[in-house]
Amino acid sequence: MHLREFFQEGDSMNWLKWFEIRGKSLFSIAFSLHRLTGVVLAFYLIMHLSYLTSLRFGQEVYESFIATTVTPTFLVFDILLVLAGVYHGVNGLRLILHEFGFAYEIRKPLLYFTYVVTLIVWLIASYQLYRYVMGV
Amino acid sequence: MADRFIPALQIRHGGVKMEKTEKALHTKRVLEPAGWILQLLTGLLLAILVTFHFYEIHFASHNAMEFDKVVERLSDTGYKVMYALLLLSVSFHAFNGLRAIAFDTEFGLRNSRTINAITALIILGAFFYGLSLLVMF
Repeated sequence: MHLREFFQEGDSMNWLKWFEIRGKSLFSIAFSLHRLTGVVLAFYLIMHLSYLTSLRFGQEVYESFIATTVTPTFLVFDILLVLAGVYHGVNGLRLILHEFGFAYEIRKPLLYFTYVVTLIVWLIASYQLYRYVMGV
Repeated sequence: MADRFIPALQIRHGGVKMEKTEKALHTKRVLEPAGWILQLLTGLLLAILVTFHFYEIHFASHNAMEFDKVVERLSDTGYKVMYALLLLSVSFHAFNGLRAIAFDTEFGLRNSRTINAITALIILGAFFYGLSLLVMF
């Protein structure tokens, strides 16, 4: 496996194109964001499983992990992770709707609606996380 | 965007020759029908299960992450089944999604068999590892 092959110049399927925004339609940007958030969440899944491994070593080890990670410092990462999760979920539901032939004629308003719902759910979830971590 | 084709390039994918066009970038086009349908179904299931999991941990109570509470949940058969389903869905959805991304590269298409085998191993590995944590309690 050569990394060079992943970054191959002129490869139109190069995933680095996800980061290009200029000249892209809103749907292409939504697609790129869906994949980026998917990759972030896949990495989080691995981290989450590793984190839960601490349960094997008993209460003391588990609680030391909690004391380290459920803190105001980590809150920023948690909130960004929630944004990735909410966007991936809401946008995924939009894609499923279209896949089954629903609401294709209102695909643009539905895309805007996706962003609005993502924002609202993210703000509510983030506020709840903030209260949880800060003990408010 | 969907109608703007790039110069066609013949690529072998799962024994079938396909043309590499911009339309072929879509996740659906790079996965087998079963892989795509399961991606949708696990996605739907995850929307429900992850929302419930988040609600349970962060909304329902302020001490859901305490060791005793975690052990209490994991000792409950209903939770065990729910978490096993969540684990299976998320393992498949995450790594099947990464497989689709790999197939969006020429490298991925050229090595599809290896990528399929590695993905299957990772999905099973993640699922059974998570399951081993679940059955501890």
